[in-house]
Amino acid sequence: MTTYRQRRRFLLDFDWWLLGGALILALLGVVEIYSSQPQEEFWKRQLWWLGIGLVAMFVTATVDYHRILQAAPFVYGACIFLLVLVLPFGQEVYGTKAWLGIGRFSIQPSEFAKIGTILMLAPFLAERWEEHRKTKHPYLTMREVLAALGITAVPVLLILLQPDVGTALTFFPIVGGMLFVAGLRPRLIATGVVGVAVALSLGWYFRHHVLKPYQVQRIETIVHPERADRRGYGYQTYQSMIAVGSGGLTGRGLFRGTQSRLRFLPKAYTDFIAAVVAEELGFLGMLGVLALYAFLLLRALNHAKLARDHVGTLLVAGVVSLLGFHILMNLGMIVGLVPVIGIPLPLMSYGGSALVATFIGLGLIANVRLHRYVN
Amino acid sequence: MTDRLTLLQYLLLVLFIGLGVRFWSLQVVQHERYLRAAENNRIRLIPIPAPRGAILDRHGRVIVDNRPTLSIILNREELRARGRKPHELVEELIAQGLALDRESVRQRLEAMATQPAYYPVVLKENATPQDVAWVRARQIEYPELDIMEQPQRRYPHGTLLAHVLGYVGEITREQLARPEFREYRPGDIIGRAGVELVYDRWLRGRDGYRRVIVDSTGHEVGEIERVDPIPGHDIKLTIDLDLQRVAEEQLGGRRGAIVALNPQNGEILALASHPTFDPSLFAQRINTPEGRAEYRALLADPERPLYNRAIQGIYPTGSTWKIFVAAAALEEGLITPEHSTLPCGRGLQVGNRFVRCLGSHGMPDLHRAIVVSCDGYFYRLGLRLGIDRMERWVKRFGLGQRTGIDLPDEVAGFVPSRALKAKFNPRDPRWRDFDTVIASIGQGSVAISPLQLVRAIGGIAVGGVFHTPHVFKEALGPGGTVYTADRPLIVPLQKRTVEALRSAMWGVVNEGGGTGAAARVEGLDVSGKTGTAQVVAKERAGEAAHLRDHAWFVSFAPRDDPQIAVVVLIENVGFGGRFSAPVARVIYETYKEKYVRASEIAAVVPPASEKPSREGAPVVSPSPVTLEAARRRSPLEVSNRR
Repeated sequence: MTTYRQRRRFLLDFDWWLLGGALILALLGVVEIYSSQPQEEFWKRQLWWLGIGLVAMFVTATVDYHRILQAAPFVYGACIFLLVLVLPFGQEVYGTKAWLGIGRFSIQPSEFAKIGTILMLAPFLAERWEEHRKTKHPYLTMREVLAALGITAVPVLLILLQPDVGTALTFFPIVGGMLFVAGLRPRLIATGVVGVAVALSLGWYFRHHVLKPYQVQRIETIVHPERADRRGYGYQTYQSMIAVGSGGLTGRGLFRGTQSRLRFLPKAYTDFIAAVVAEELGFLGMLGVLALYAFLLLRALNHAKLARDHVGTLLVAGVVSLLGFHILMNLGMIVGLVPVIGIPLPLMSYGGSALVATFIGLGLIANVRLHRYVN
Repeated sequence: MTDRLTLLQYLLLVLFIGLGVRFWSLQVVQHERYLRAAENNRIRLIPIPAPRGAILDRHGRVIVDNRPTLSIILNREELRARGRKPHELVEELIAQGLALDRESVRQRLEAMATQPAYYPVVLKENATPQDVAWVRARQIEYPELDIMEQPQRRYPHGTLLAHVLGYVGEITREQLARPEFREYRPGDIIGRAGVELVYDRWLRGRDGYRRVIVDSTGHEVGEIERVDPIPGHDIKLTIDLDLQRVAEEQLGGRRGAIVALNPQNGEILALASHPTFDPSLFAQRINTPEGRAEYRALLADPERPLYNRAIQGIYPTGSTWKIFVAAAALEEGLITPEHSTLPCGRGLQVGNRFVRCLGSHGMPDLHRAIVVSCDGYFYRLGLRLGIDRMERWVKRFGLGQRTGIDLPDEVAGFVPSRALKAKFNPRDPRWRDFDTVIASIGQGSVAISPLQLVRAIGGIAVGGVFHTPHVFKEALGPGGTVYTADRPLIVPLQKRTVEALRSAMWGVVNEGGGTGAAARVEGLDVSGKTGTAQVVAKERAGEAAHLRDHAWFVSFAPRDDPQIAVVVLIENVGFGGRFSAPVARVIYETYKEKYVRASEIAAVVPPASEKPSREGAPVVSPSPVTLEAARRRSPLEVSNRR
């Protein structure tokens, strides 16, 4: 039952800036999807998904997030269920069983599992945070950290079975970001950083044992771009860098990018959509995109500071970590700083599940802001 | 911990600025370099067609394989990038001296219009070294041209086995429109007839391709991706090349058909039909004006060389039919081998007509009546049997039906019946005794293919198991298969019926006065039956060559354990005993030379002992082959053994 005042408050207080920024990026995405796949129906489908995403954002923003969190275990459970379901019944694309076909649509449960995991982690970590707040050392204990990692591990393991290493990887920044905000002991942070560095070096040293040959090649392409095999696995990265570089200051013009339109650029409408933007709209266009993404993320973190309680803060921190990691990794991949790992660009890459999941995440951020006052 | 949120904000800001710097470096600082790279970026897709599987004979000798050829291909994307139209280019190339066939190029361009532009169009196959040199020398002027390797069908034995092999050709537009050809694209080579058609899925491989980067002059600077083609399966046929060659030689220039098969399992050893055609026409020359003229001539030829007489030709059986009438009469108990005499009477008065016998045979028994092919005897036996029982029995032997051979467009033919007459003779629809009399000697309303006849005679000879004739033995290599489509008709015949008929047919070849004496082979016990099928009523035939009788000889050997059955049909020459029986003899001689000694050696280790019989009784059966023994040898079990 919404009263006039509530509705008025919603309209006044809803984060239209957040929505506006996201909408511009998503629409630009649709345009560039059309640019790289004009004869296909991808852009139309993306528009449909955008509509669904907007509805999802408003719905998620309206209901008080505390009530959403009450349902968190069910959401999390449903995501796990779908991830299990996808293993026997999923549609295989590029050797990965990540999609569930429902009628003419297919959804990617792993995208929704990211949100499900955030919803599950936030209240758990918020309670611990609250408990520790009054103590002398307001930090999470080792056992609590492990519990949080456990919550994350379930979807990660299921996604590794698909197998989709890139997507599985994106769960660690989520839990990492949320743990960091909830109070990770500085010593643990240092240990973690060193540990990751050691693990990476060891992994690199034994790369031929732990990684598949193509994965090794993709990484070597980044480490030694001048030595990369431009005909082989360095191809994607090199073509993407050509697309970006040939865009110049002002770009080659909308719908004029030869790299994407002549299909030198692989997967131009999904993972490499930003390269199409860079090619067609140039450095200035790319600067706008970067600014918009930075604006969205920084603004969201401001909301996190204003949140009524720890759960709110952590929800926002989780979504920001999720989106931030995706954006940075994807753009890093486009410009040849990060190996090709198959992480899409939020809001712009083609893909309905990711788009809807992103808008749900933005809805949560708007929600935390809307309900920032204790009443 | 809100300070940590601020920290995160700073971290993000730094990373975004870092990205911005990187974009600046690529897009502004190094812009020139990448723009040049983009302009030089041209990709081509060069298909690597998969070689079709070879076709081998039963001993693994090559009948058809592939030879490498070169094709000139056109990259339409490149052409479009240069702002040119394909048709202009083709005209220009012809004017410049490249020999292209306008007609086929036009068809190809039309067909490929539905395909993505990066997929090339073949402008010319079988490019000569001069053509290739021409293209290579003009790489700068015509960067859109390329050379592709393409395996092409090669027929080292020329026209040998043409009707069984069939031929290949480009997939037609009508085929492409059908859902079962979804995976094919225009220009694909597909089996169009014979084994090439029926086993296309096995023979065809999967095409591969190379994706290459070329510079602005069309020079290949690197390979991005290479997907190797998967060659098709080699197929082993049941055909024996030596028998096949002899069969075709024996037909000589005469119209007709020969089939030799193993009645124990339906494997076809030789299948010849004449006149024939050259399958290399379709694989190699069809896209040239000469090739098209050759093809039109084939279609227009009144002797119909493309038509496989062994399975598509249907003919009256003449006296070979008597074996079926005799089998039916014996099984129905109208006569027994011991009590079977009937008068010849030089013929029979039926109503107001006298139907003649060609000789005067007195009071022959069944054996003698078959040996001398006494019509008078069979007129009377046929009348006793009656048309309905005759129809029922010949249909049980598989006559008037498709045999199910694994070759396309087999014709069913027809056998005499009341219904058939009513349908085709509306002015006199009632079945009369005269019709029965005529039908008893395989004249009148009967027309079956040579294959049906040899299958039926072979099936009776092995005791009543009529296997599905087939030419496919196995697909070799990983994921191969063996023939599993044998669905034998099983008609349990009495042992004494089978023995009486075998002995009578042995007599036809080996006894005094036998009509098939010309087929006699020392030491092989060839048994058979001659037939002379009237094309028109005797009175009207005269001497016109195309109205002369068809000569039949259907046979099997050896008498007591048939391993091979042979039918010979020669159109419009005259008596079966005179023209067809000697042909069969040559085939049997070849067979004997090649297999009999070998099988005597094999007999030391009898194959049946590898496996207990189904009844559980030990297989010690020196007696003539019985129904069970014939079943034991069905290829279904043979294939189980492997």
